[in-house]
Amino acid sequence: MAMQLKPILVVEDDPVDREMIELAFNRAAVEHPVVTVSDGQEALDYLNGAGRFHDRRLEAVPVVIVLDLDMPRMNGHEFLGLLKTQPDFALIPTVVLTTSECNQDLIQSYANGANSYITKPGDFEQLIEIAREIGGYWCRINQLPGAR
Amino acid sequence: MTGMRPGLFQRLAVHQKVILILAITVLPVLGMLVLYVATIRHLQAVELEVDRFFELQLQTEHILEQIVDVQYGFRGFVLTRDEKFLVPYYTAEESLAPTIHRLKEMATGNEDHLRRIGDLEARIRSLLQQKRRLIDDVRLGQMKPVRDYIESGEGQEALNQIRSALKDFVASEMAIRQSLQDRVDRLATLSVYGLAGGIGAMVMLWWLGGRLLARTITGPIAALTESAQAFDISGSRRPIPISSADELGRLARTMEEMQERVSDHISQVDAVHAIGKDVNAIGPEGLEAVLKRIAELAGGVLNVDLCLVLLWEKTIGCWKVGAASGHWHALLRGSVMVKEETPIAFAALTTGAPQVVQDLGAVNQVVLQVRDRLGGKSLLVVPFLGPQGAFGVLSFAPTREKRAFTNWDVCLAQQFADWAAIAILNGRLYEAAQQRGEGLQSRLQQLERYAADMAHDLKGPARRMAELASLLQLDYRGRFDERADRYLAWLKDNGQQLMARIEEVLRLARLGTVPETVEAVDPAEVVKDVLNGCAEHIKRQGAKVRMADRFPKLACNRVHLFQVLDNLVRNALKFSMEGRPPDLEVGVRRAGTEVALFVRDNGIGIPAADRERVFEPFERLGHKDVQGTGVGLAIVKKIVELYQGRAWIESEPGHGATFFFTLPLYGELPALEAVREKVRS
Repeated sequence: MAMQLKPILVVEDDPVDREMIELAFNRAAVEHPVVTVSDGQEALDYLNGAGRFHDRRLEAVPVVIVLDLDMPRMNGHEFLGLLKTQPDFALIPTVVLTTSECNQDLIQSYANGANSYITKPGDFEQLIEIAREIGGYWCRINQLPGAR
Repeated sequence: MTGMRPGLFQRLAVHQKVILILAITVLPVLGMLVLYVATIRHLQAVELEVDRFFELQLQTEHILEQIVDVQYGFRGFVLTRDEKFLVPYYTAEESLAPTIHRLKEMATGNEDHLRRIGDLEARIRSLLQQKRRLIDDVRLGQMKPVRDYIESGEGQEALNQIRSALKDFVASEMAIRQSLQDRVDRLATLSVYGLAGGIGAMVMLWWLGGRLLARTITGPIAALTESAQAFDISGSRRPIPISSADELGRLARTMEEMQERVSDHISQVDAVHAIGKDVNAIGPEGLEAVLKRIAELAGGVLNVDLCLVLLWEKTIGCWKVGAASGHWHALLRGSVMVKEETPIAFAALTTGAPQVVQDLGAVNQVVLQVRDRLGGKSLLVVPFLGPQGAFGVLSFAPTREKRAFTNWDVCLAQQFADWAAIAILNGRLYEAAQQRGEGLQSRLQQLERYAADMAHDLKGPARRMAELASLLQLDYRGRFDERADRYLAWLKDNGQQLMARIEEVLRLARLGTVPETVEAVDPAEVVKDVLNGCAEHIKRQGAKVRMADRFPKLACNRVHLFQVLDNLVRNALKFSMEGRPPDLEVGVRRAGTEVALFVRDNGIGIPAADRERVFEPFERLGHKDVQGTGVGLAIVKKIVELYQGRAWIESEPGHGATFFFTLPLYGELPALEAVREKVRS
């Protein structure tokens, strides 16, 4: 492929989850590369090419952000709030992938501009299924502005 | 007694009555005294008269003796011509004048006697003159006229005449003396009868006087004493039986008034006492309501339209209006008054003594809040006294007209304020305790939050455990032995179960922590959603489900109603009787004003002793084999209680159970509004 595919940005503080999500995307044969960061602050750093991501390639803007909610430093809600204030990145689709089934979290996520809300399943095979769906829908079917 | 003219007598004053009674009692004594004085005087007069009479008799006899002596002397002279026989004649001639004079003296005032004496004197003188002429003839020796005189018996006759005149005179005097004697005798008799009659009358009058005295003085005093002793605050007032218009009558009226006043005052005190107790009852509304009640009830105590409860705020050095009576409350509550504009209230606060101003208009003060802003005409301020002195005041300020507060008013107001002060202090303590309680509550909530946070934190590892187990199963299938595969499967199942339970607990914990929107919900739709959710379950168990045609709309959060019905339906399916397919009914029951939704099953039922406990979290009542987390009914109860509803069970063990719950009806609110509209128009 001549052009590198845009990455999927996974924001997840737990290393086990990080590895399993990455693995799940891998098993689901999603072609897009997966970039993992451990909290909202790092995610912002990645987007802005700051901190340890100062040498990130300009075109490597995520195609979709997979976001955990409960994180140290900057949690998912705070990140979402800030993301939507940045014109360059406000339109990046965000899928919340969290353990919480709390209605309040759902409401707040959508209110902050999340595009999808998925509860972590507790079964790896279902996780693969979720990764496949994300890869299929948000990376291929869904059309994004300025992507052509 | 009754014969007395009561009208006149009753009108007399007590001292007049006493004088009258004394007069009546003393009168007979006086009468008797007069009688005796008269008798004595008469006796004295009679005695004098008797003395005079004897003297008179003596004189007349003396005169007679002399005349007789003259007669005999004259005869001796004629016979002997001896001069010595003329001595009686000369003596008589000499003593006649003084004797007659003496007689006249004694007869002074009695014309008849004087005349008689004059006549007698004339006779004696004529006799003596004749004798002198004859004596002269004898001396000259001319005996013939003397012989003629003696032979004629003229001298003897004159003597007889004089004797007879004297006799008459004495008889007349005797008659006078006798009449006097008779009068004295009569008087003596009279005085004897008078004495007896007087003593009788005296006894009578004394008895009369005693009765009058008893009737006018001692009787009323006894009645007064009895009335005073019988005085009882609760008993009905009986008039004191004294009808006279005198001092005692007035005293009786005064005493009746006094009793009236005393019982009035006591009833007022009782009223204040009752009000005070009422004030002291702290309701769920707390101090605020206590202050309001004080302001309202205070107005009733003294019948004053404006009453203010002013609380002194030490920290800012001014008044805060705790409450006010009537429409003033909304206007003034919580507002602040500076002490410069409320000097009278401030005086009551600092001195701890009631302050009274009859005419606020006359107070020389540029600004007086109560006068200038509220229109008070008079003012009575009593302090609220606490253990550390006054902490506020109760102000009575009639705005319609000036009022002279009496000592009794002040006394009542202060007593009421004392009650109110206790109520306020209690209210403050209660509030403080409430706040402490709320503090405790918030700490409990904090604990609940910690528990929820912990559960939340546990859910991640549980999920990861299950996911990792399933990853191992997927990636390493066949590489372990069969036993390891089984263990991995268990690990995954247990992890997932743990997740599910934690999620249930979180659901329970989350209830009521965030405000949910309340809307009109049709239970029928929610029931359908629930049944759809359980469709697979129902099919598997071969359950029959019936549902009411119509439900009343409820005012609640839709998700809440869903959770309640979902938990109840799943619960009913879960606790079915073995070998008997579940038969469920979802419906409505109206009992009185209460409308309850219910879910009925034909399952195993619940014994009476457990019907409360099943609503507690994690109580599965010994059905460990039944799947579930044990919080489903706890969620139901918590949701229902969020809406001040209730949930309960009616059951016959072995024949199923019916779970009832109430939630607010949507229809009620608009209906109420419609009624209000009607009332307004």
